[in-house]
Amino acid sequence: MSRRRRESYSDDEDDERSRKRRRTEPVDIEDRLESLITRVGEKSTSSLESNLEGLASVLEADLPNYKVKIMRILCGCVVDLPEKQTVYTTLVGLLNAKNYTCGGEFVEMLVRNLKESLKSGEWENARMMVRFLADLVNCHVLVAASVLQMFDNFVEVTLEDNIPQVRSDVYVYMVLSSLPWVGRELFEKKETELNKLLDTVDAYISKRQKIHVPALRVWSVDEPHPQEEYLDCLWAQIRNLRSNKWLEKQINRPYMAFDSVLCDALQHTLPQIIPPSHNDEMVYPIPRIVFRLFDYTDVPEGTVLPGSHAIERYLIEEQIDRIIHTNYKERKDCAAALLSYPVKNLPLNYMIVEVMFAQLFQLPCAPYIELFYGSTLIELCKLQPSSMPQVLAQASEMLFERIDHMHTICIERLVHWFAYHLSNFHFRWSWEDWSEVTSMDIGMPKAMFVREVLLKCMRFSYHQNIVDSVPATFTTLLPEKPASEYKYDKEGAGSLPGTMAAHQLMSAIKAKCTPDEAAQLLRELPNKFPNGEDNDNSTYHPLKIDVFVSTLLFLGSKSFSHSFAALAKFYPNLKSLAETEEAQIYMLKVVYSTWRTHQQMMVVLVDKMLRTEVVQCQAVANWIFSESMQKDFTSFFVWEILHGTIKKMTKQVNQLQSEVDDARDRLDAAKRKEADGMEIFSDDEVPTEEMIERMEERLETATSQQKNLFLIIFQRFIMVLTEHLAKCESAGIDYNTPWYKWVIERLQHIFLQHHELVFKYINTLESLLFTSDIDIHILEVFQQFCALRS
Amino acid sequence: MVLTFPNALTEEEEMLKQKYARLRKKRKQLQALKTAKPETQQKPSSQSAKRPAESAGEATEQAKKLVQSGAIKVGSGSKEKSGFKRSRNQEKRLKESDKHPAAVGFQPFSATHSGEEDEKIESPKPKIKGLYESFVTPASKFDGDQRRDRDDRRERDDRRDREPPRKGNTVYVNGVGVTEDILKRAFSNFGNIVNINVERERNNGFVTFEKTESADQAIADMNGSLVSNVQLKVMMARRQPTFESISDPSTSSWSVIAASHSQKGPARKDSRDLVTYEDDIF
Repeated sequence: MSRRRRESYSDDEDDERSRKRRRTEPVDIEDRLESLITRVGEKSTSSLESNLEGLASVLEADLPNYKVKIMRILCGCVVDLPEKQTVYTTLVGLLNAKNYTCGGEFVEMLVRNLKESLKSGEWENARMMVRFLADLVNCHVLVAASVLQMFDNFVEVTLEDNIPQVRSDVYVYMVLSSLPWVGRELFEKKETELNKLLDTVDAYISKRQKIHVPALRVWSVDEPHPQEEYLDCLWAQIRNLRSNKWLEKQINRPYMAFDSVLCDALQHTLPQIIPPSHNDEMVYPIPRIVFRLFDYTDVPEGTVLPGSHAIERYLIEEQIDRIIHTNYKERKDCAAALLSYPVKNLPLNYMIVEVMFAQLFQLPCAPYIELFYGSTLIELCKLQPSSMPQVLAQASEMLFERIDHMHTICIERLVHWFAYHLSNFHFRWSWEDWSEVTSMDIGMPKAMFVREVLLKCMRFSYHQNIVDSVPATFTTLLPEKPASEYKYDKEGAGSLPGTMAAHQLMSAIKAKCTPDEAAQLLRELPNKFPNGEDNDNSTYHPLKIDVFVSTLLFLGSKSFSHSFAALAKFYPNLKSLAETEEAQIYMLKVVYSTWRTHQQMMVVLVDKMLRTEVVQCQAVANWIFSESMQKDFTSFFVWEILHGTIKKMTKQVNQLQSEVDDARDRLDAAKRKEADGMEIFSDDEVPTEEMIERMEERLETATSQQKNLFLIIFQRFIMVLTEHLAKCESAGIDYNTPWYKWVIERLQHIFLQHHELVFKYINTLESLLFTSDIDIHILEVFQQFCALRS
Repeated sequence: MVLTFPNALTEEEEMLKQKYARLRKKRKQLQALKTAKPETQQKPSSQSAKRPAESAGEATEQAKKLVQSGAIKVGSGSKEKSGFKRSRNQEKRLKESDKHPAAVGFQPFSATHSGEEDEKIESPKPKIKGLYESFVTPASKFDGDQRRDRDDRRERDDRRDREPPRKGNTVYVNGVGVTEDILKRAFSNFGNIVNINVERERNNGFVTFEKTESADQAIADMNGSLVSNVQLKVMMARRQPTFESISDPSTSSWSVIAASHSQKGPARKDSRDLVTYEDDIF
């Protein structure tokens, strides 16, 4: 009310005020239009049909003034809100019925956007636009034949020569995923043409290469659910739909209610949409496999889970995927949106959980950060405390049952999720049901899983709490209580050559000595190993490193921060002790012998030492594959350290790259200014050519280090695996041991997790390491990986 | 009388929109005539500036009529709201015909009283939600609206919580200076106590009994009594945490924890020993 009064007052005021008001108004109206359009189809007191009718009239009235804006908003909705696609196609249909040119202009704009997306490789957006265009046939905006023509053009890509399969896949996928919407129309109006199209697709599907599939599988067996390639699965679903005369029960089609209005509308013909031709820079989406966890026997009575080849399964999963995509930044909104998805007689909880796990386990990488899945599942539990926790518990049981055949990467993600989930539920779990693991070898997947879960739980809690949470029978799997190990303080330490120096050093550090003073204390130590053996290698000094590093870590053992403070204060000493790679590896060994029982401490300390460049990435890789780490080689924290190391290296390269790019840009800008005769201000720093050259040199060094790091890692993998295979062969035993499973899948893990980088070096890898003379089992991993982009 | 602002806004916004459309039209006509002199430019703006007052006048007038004739007119009021369904021309024609009766003379009246009058019309209206309102009224954007939804939900939750359950095994105790010790002493003779949780700073605590009868008995006997110089107020706790889960570490406990509003859960006994370190040396 007060607003109105203010309005009426201002009527009498001078017109500067009213001019100001006038200027802001269009923005308001545009915002209003946007809000109206984006919100239609949400829950409302009136029916969707009347809302749509009303909105169409509002928009029609505003078209003369805000046409471009309205079109743009609608095109935005096509890609941003595809979960409401049919609402928007209906709206466009209604607008087209009222205003034929407007419909035409919308189609034109959408086609322009589509072509742009195809060119720039925004495949998911393109797919949404194709689907939208297809659905416009149902609203009498487009002629069926012209959409069919677009489909034909897309499917023709399958006949191109010398293209990667992923290219034709993406075009076929766009067509197939649009068919549930438009199949019926095409079937009624253009049956023969549709059949011809499907024949081409069929021929393509049957001749596809599927080398990549093993690299993407979550499970190594097809029991109880086969893991189909995404395109194969969708094709089976589409074939099913076809045999049901293209009738499905899932899509809400508001345009049906407006049939009488829409059928009078004039239809448009699509302009030709030719897929842009292939070039080597184009990156196509990596194929997927379809993850299945539940079937109809797993869900409660009264609900029906659509079969894995029912089109409804695809449609619901796609919808859930899209809801997640829209809301993945807000777990609470996401959970609420997921649960309010309207389905009849369907076990929605189960389908949500299945899709969430499917995304979490997706290889090479989950679409969103892993924590999102955990936190959203907790929100789902809170919103439906009576059913969701049970579904999750059931899922956990099933996943555990199948863990023997689960890929290591997925086991690791499952460990992370399960420990996180437990930490939010007071670490309660029916551990007794899993007591089979207590009698297993620790290398067996189930036992390893439980152990790693407990280890991870410890990071969320503390040792004693975890000990109290599990039954007494689980003691064999319980991690040791984390504590630092300091040999110079133990009984019998007197005979060690370093004990004296260690004790002197300890009191000096306690007396707050300087780094120099600490270095003085080490000077006299002989070049021996801590156990008294002589060291013939003069490039490093094991005794000095051992005395210094173990004493320092022992004194800082109170907390992470104390350890960091210790490392920071004596940074110069560490740096000078670890000049060579051998010295760095030895230093890492000392860290490990001190903190063997505290994995998280290991992870953060190595991270710190990498960050401060006390140790190099290569040294970490070599240390991990060294003999001293053999005992823990399959432990998950080791791989956490290795992946952290690769990530650090990548970050370094990227940073140097962006520095070089930035400097280049600035120099170019300055040159341009100079050429234009403009003044250059002395305070914007313009780098000189020399400076850039130096930066480029640094970048080059970093890039070659990165390449080297990958070469070291892969070479070491090949060495340990070859050795294992040879040993098994000569002993005549099966090579496929638990150890082999962990290690070969860790190799895949490196490939997949860093796939974008590894693809850069694929030719080097092929010519240097993965040559035809290595064992086929190892080579296969490489070939499967290469197939992901071919 | 329930006051709902959205309705008033709708009317106003609708009005603004009409005004804006008219302004644009005027300006276009003017430009078409190429009479872009500053004087002529002034005219339409001053002319249009009057319009809101006029429509405010209309509203008042209608309000008066409505008040006189009672609730029957409510329908007609809301019909006017969904006016966007009419075509532009028709709308304009209607406005034109209305222009004359709504004379300038009404202005002062409308400026001062329109608010009050509007409230009167609006009060019965929320029951019938007009089409236009259903997607226009909340002036905020998408996200703002969602937030409101969430608030609504929370409000509903709170309301539900505010009614104390009639049965349960947790009682709420309030008293200045209440401690765990006092509660233990005061309530232990009503039955086995499963959990005691005291919030010192809020002077209250929760006692959970094994049996609901104990809780009932405790309320009956202890409410208003004086224990260790603390006057106790005892009633059924609004939120009834479930503690039986402690003995049952199975999956059903996940449901219980998910259902409990508090994130803390029962206090866990920490069996660790205190570790002491030397002074910081770094």
